[in-house]
Amino acid sequence: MRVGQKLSTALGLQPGLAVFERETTRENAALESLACWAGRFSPTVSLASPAGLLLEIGGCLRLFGGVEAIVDAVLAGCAEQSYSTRWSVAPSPLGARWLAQAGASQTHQEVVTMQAALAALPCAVPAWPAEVENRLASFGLKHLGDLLALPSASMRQRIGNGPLDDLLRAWGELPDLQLPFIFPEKFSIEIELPARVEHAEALAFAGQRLFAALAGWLHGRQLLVRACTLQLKHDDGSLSPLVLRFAEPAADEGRFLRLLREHLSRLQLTAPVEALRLQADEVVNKPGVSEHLFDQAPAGEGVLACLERLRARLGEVAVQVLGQKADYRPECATLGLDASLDFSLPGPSTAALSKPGDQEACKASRPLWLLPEPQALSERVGNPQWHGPLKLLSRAERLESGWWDEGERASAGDVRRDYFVARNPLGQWAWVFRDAEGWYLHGLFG
Amino acid sequence: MACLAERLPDYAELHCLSNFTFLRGASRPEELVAQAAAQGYAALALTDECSLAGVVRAHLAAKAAGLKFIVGSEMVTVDGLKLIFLACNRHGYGNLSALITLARRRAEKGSYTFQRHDLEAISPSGALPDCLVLWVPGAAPAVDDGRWLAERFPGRAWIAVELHAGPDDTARLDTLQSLAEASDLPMVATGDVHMHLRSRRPLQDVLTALRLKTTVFEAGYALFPNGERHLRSRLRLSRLYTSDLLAETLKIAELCKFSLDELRYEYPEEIIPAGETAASWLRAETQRGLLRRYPGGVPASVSERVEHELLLIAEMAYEAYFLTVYDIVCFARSRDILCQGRGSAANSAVCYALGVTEVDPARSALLFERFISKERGEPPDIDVDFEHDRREEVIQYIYTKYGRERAALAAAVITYRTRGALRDAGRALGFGIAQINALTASLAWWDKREQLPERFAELGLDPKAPRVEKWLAIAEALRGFPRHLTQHVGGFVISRGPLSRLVPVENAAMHERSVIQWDKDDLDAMGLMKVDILALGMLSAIRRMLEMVSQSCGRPFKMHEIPPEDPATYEMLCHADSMGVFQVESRAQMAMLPRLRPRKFYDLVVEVALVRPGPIQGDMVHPYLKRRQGKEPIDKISPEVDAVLARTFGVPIFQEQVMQLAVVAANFTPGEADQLRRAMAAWKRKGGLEPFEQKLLAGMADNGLPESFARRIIAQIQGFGEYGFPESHAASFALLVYASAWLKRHYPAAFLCGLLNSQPMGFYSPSMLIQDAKRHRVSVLPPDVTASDWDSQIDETGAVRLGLREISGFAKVVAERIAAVDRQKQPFSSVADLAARAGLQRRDLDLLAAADALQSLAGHRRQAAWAATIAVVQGDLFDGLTPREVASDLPAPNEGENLVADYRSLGLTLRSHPLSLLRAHLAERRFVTAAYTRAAGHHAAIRVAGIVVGRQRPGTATGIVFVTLEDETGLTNVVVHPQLVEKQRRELLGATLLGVYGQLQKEGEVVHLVAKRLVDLSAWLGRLETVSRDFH
Repeated sequence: MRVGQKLSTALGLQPGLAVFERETTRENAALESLACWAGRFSPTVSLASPAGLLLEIGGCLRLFGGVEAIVDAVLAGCAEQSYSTRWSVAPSPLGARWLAQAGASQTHQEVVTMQAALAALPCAVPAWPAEVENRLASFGLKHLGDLLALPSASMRQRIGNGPLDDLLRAWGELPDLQLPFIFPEKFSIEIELPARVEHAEALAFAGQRLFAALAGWLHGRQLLVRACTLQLKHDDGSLSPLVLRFAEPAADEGRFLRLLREHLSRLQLTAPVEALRLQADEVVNKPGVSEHLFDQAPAGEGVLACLERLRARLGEVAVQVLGQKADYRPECATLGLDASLDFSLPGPSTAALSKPGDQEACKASRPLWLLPEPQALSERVGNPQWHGPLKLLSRAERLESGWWDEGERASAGDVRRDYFVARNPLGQWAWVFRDAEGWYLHGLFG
Repeated sequence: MACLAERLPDYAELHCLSNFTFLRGASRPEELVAQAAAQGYAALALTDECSLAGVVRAHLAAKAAGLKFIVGSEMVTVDGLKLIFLACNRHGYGNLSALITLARRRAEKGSYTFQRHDLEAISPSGALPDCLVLWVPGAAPAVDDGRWLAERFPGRAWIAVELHAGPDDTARLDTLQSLAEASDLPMVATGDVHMHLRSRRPLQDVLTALRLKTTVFEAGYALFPNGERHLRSRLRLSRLYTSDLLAETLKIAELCKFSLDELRYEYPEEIIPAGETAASWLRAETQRGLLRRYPGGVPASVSERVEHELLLIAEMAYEAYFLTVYDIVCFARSRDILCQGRGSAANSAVCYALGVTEVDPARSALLFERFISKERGEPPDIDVDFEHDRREEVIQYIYTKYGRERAALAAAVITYRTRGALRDAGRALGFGIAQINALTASLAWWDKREQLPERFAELGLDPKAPRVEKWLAIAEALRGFPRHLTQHVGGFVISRGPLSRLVPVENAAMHERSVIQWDKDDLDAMGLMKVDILALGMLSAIRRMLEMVSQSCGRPFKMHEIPPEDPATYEMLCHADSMGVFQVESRAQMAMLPRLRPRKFYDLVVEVALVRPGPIQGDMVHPYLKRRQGKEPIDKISPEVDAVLARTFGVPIFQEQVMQLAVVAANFTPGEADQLRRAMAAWKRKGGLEPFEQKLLAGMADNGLPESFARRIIAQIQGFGEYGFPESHAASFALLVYASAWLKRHYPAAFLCGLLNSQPMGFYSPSMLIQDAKRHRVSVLPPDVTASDWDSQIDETGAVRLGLREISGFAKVVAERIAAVDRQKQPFSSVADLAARAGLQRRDLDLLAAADALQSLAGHRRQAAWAATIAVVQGDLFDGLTPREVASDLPAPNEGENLVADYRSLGLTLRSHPLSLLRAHLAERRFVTAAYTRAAGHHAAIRVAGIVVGRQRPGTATGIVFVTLEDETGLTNVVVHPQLVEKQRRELLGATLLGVYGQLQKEGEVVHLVAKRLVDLSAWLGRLETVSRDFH
């Protein structure tokens, strides 16, 4: 395969090729979680998107016992999390970055050796705009050193200031300030598993990345964790939370993993797992560290407070918020949402919810109480019975919809029904339907 | 059951959309008609939204099914009033067509804008006279709208009641009832039909989702709640509607008396001078033309034929058609635009006399019935090729002469092909772009469903998964659905009166183009005349070549002055030396030329027709060649049959021969013979050849011909299938083959220039054409800013100076600015001088530098690039002042680097061929040159390496891939058999420099290398930049 090749060509060459779409948001999330983890090596970490991390290690050499020891530790940690790495250590951040990008795997403690190494790099390494690259190629310049050999003023006139300033920064002749990575206020990181996992024990390996990141984050923010939740996302969309509580607040990755393994060994998976999310639920300041700057805000009043009380008393799953979905099938038109879902934020899980005004389109009379499942009704001389014969009060409303999920697991499938509003001798108003199988009760009017 | 049906109420559907209401209607017009007839409807109206694109199909189907058909259209005003118009009579139809045209022409392609006051704009006598209107009220209708309608359409307006078992039909009916009373309008039942059967509901939902650019999961309430919008049974209708609402449909249907059969096409008149009739004028012009064509006297056979044709033309009243085409051709001639009729029109001696076609009836056997047949009753079809570059002038002439009201292009209906259907069905079902792309990247599996599970498994999809099954089913149903109307390649429709009263006209995507809503088949069915104004690149190239030849011989040199039957030209073709020559330059044609060895014009006619799927599949090639070479005797069948087949050595090769055989050997009338031709074209798709087979067998038996002969002819006819080539068409093309071959043989420099300046066209890239010209001793000079124009030219030494057009990305206007500067008198002194005087931007200079076209001003391309980057920084004030800067001392590129840069910028190089730089390496590994293969013996095992310049997998050659390799000595044709294709797919498809280990196959001059093993040597090209002359 080659970069820039047409997909059809690639598939022609390699028919079994697995194709994935590149997702920058997930890449960024992965980089940020790695940055959290890197907090254990240095308090000064910066992101060099799309795939680079800069660690300022000058200040922590003594702590780790020298450059080599740090490099080994970082590389080993990355390998444990199944990242492949290219690295370099150099006096200037940009110099280090370029050398790493070129796959140098070298340590340059001296500016002079770094400059020599940089001069030999191909002009493509800095990934300057195509126009600049083309122009350099048209002059026959192949290495970064060739650029510096030409009169600087003439070069600036031709390719602009940007690339030449970059050169000076890399060479250590211009200061190169980096935007430090801010460790997030709350820890909540999700990773998607490369393949579905069906055995709980196998999750330990994937969980390692998350707990490594948590440990780094705690270190970077000088915190300890008392409780955290590992959410297992199943391939059918359901979630199972795994709450880890620590007898005393902890920050040690090893300890996290031991506890995780213990939990996993007892866990029976209900469905294959697709993704994992780890969030730190309760954190405390590390003793001996000054009181944290951003303390937890006092709990809000009103609806939310009420909700929280309810949830505390009845349990997480018992409290749900009703959402509406634009779907003709009555059983699909409402869905229970996790009450903790933040409705102020548009997210993937709210995309399917109906937009205001949609109800206009389906201004049908719908009963307040919908049965969890339609209940079959007996029939006498063609009339449905529910506590006596039902009297049909409306013309049939025909609903035929939903063929698209027919035959799939846990779906309503294609419904073909005639609905009626009906009343029984007890004066109860019912919503009934008839389909190819017979009569059913589906809802009650208040 | 029948008894029950009798008692059901009658019904006419008056609101029905077909799939010509794109992304709404889910059934074809034909399906709707068939279903309406099956349900026993009294009538069906097709009311596509602001469109009559489907009415001809529906009309034909209804006529066949004996169903009453009504033409109508649904239109929504900009303020949301939804109306259905139905045409009562021809006048009303014209008004409706004009209204649709009005609404369409003011909007962008594919949409329309309909305002209330448009109703009056159509006719001075009230709102859309002779049309009925049905109002489909919205959820909360306004009484004022009803009154407004009632006032404008007194006695002609209804409220459409559409009940679909919705949430509350009773309330809806009440609302409409009071609306009807308040606005004093009667009510009528209609169905808002979107599909012919309830089972189309999934497809209809998918179309809705596609229209809203979403998925069926997300479409929500935008979908219809149920499948009621189909052609419902009358039983069901009788339960939903009261009988008076149903009876009203019949009353309305009764008022709509219009049938599309009433449309009468009228030819334009202005082509006939005052005092003449069409017939007299055509006769006069034909006679004049004959005298011009035959200065030495018109041969008797030709005059006879002309008489015969004129009679038939008069009988069918087609004179005006011939004169219209004649007028267009005369215009082109007056502007020196080369043109030439193609196709079956070349069967007409009248067309030859008028100068529309070029095939001399005195020199060939024509079959006029192939062109016009009484039995067919369809208007004739004259296709004329014009120079590709100047066709627009002809089109503008037609628009100017007849006005936009009377001339428009025919439509071409773009339909869903497999790939598009899969793509859209997948999209609507929520599949990811990556999955869709992966599945549609190769469609070989579509016809081999047994491979499907494998293919899906590779993509990580379960072929048995319900969602995947639905994907395929929906895609299958979507295939062949129309997506949009576009313009036919060049089919013009010209009418006497305003065209928009005959058929709606709408905007095409191309600016200033308009298309009618009917396609070619619709036009044929409705008897509308169409003139095909086609474009042919080779005509432009030949015109350019002739201009250059004129220049070199100092007098105008026209196409008809090319000497006929030049032995040197045929000699060249016999050696397959035909790169760039019209039609016979393909690999397959090149392989045929040395075997057929053309020695006269008629051989070229055969050559053009022989290398086609038809003759190849009909097994006509080998018998023809053997008999031609005298290796096989020619059967004597009967004097009549032998006369028909004599010119092709007893093997039928052309459509005309099959038709003539049917006439002379099996007693067909000429018209029947033409029906046979049409059946031949369609039998693979539709069958229907059997009755003709019987008739052929019986007829031939009657004439005492052996049955074996009859069987052989039938087998050949089947082989022909739809690929049979008319002799007339082959003859028209052969004229251009000869002309271009003669130019290549005698004026190779002009030939090269003409081709280069007409690109893109033909099989070969400029690079290959230049390599070929160099092998023919043409000297070619690189583009140079001090000498080149936009086009390539021949300089005073006879060498070709490449034009700046070869520089990729260079703009024509810039090249013209450079050429406009007087470079002779005051040569450019520097790059800055050039930039200032020709007004060049930095980008232009960059491109020139990259192409090494600044060599004479600034030295090698790197120095030129260095100079170019700041040459335009100077403002006007300092014009002429060279920027003060020391020239930088950049090292010159080596040969390999130059070569790579040449290819990057020009796609070609005039330096050494890349393979000559690699030759030493190649020789070490015992790779030989293309020239060597020509000298080596049959069956020699050799290795050849070359740049892959062509890969071809012809449908006729069951899985074989042909690869063309180029090296510094020429081309090598490689044959890769299917087993090797499977085994070495990667090398075959991926390599740019390919090494082939194989065995030579020689048949006379035809040399093929049959590959046994392929090696990808592309990496060697990558190292070119480091390779240089001094390397070896």
